[in-house]
Amino acid sequence: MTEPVIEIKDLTKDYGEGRGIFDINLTLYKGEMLGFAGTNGSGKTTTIRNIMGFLQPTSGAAYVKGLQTWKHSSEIVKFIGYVPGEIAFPDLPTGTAFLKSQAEFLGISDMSYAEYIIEKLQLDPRAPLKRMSKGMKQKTAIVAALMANPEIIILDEPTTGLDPLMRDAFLEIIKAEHAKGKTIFMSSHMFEELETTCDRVALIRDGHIADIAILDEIRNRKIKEYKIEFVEESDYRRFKETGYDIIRDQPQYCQVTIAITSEQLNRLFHDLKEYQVKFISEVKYNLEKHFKTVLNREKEIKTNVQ
Amino acid sequence: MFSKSLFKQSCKANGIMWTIITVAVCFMLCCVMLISGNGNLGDTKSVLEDAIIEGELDSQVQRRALNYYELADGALCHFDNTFKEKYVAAYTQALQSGKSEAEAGQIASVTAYSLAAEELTTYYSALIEQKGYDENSQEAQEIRGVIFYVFNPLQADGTYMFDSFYTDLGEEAPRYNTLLATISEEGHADERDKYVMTNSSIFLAGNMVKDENIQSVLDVLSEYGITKEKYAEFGFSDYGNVKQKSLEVLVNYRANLEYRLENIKDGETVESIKAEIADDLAGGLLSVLPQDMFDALQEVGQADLYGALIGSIFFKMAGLLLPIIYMIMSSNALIAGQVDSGSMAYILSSGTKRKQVTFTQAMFLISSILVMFLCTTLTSMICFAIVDVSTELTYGKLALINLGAFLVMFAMSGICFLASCYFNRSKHSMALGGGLNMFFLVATMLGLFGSPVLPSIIRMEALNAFNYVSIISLFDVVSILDGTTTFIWKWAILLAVGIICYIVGSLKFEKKDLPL
Repeated sequence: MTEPVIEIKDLTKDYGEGRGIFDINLTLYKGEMLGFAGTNGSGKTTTIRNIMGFLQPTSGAAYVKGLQTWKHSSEIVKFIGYVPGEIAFPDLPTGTAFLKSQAEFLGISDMSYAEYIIEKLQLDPRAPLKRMSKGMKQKTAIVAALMANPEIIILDEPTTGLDPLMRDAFLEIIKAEHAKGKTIFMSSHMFEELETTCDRVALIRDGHIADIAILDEIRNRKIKEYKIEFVEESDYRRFKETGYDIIRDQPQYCQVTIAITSEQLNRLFHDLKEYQVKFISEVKYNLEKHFKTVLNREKEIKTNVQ
Repeated sequence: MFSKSLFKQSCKANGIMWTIITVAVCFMLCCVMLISGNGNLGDTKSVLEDAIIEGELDSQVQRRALNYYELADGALCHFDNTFKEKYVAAYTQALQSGKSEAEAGQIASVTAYSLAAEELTTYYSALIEQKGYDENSQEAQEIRGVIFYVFNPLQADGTYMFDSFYTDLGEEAPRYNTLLATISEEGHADERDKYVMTNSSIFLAGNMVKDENIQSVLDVLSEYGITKEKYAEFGFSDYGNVKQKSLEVLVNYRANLEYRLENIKDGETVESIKAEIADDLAGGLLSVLPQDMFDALQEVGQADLYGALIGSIFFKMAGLLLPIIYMIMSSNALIAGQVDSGSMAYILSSGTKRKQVTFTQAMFLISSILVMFLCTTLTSMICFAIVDVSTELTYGKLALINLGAFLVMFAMSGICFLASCYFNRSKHSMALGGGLNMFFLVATMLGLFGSPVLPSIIRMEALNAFNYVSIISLFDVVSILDGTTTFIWKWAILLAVGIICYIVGSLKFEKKDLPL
């Protein structure tokens, strides 16, 4: 079992009127990439600010490498490369000036790694900060975060506003860092990008952790779902009798959605030869679906209790 | 405690603004000091000053003239009476011893003259004793001089004692003996008075234009700060002029006295009438104006306009405006602005402690203001060396004024820094820091019109209330210019305010949540 790098224990930051984060429990292990999903205003940024030691918790605490974040903020940040949600650079002329200033702050004299990332991202840092596009600013921010080669990387919605190509380039870099063994914590409200990169994803809703999904399990789910539409209504009705696990029935379109194991797959296709099938498509079980299922289940439980 | 990289970053971010403002302030200071130093600052004031001084000098001369007249006249009157007495006695005695009438008359005159002349010495001694003067004092010598110079006694060897004094001045030497011939006639008193008037005036003028006497007059009027050149400018070093003034006042005096004595009223004595007329004629401006007005005019005349301009107007108001603007903008840019925009995240995520941030930024703010005022100190010293103006300012006082201005800025920057540390939004930080300090500045401007800096004639007392609501009032320029030490404890308060604000601000920043 790898060691925990970031531990969040019963963390609560109450801003009043129900806003804030409540009883957050989360652990990041060394070398792991944890995604943080949630809608706007669900508490992602607040959690990250607590990890960085910018906010004082109402109760509970966050620990980075065993040190309490609020008390030891200036020490823990040295292990972390942080890309903030809003890109705001200090009042300096160019990207190069900013990166030089950051290097001074971090005490780095060897800029080779920074230059490597700059080249990888195809960034020209000589441009004036004020005139940079969102994509350039984001890249500059990433260089600033990674230049000290930190072991922990925290990213707060880093791809918001980037076009798909940029986003892909960015995610590639993150994946490369992850492959090197870095511990990464990334928040986003786009499930797709978390799916492809993270080991686990925590869903936060209204300040509470709703669920923590393990991507391996989702990707390698034993059960698959298929949607089949039949040409003839008679075929449709006949198929319904064959005993497959029907999880969704749409008679108006002669569609059924069934859940089968991978072993049953062959048998299904064998059976379908007897029918006139309009189309068959796999309903992929992805993170979004997973979370929706979890949330619906919760809602059911709640209404049942009431 | 101190982060060099952060300090560098702050310098780069605020350097241009600092340079522009420092240059602008020093330039303004140069203009103010040089232009008003070489120009005619307060011409009206000088005219007023001259009028007051001239009036006082006139008054001095006139009083002396009247005084000398009365002394000499009194002495000669006494001489006359003694002479008549001794003449009668000597005449009788001469006749008895068988001399002819003409011979007796001759002997009697000579005898009476010498006896009466001796008598004068006794009269003089009695007089100074009555007045309480020591025999060797200056006042006694003066009285002695008046009496004997005017009398100009005939000596045993046939020459007159003080002839040379008169002839040196180009005047005819007086001969009292000639008047003695008509001593019994009605018009004698009048003739005597005229004699005294003429010769006491000559004596007065002759003495007053001597250097040592000029100095003693200047010493008496030292509070007006009259120089020898000014004295000569008014014509008081000119013999003819002084003599003329003396004669004029004496003519008036005698005419008034004659009229008043003829129409003497109940309760009036000769002494009281004489005193009244003297006050009337020789009173100077003081007798014409009410005391308040006179004080006010004197104040205007003595006002050190240059010192007030540099100290109170420039370094407490006009010259502080640009530095305050710099202070408001930079103190916001150092903390609150960066929290507001979010760039503070980069500073903190590099491992800089919050304590380091506040300490470094505070040091930057204070040192930038300090260097700014070192520049103004240097500029003011240079300008002061170039300019030539009569003022109470000295290099030492200029340095103190600059230091005082810095301390005011220190305290005000503390308030701005506190606001910057306390608030997360730029607009709040600037509203408090900027708003409050601008209010102080405006209050000081209004308060100037009610403060002792302005002469009471144009002061609007009601506006003095504004001085109590502005922290800039703790910079006591008037005290520095006057050379008193009250400004020191006020500086201590400014220092304390500044230090407290910086510390409280830093503590607040350390403990608060940062939305980064």
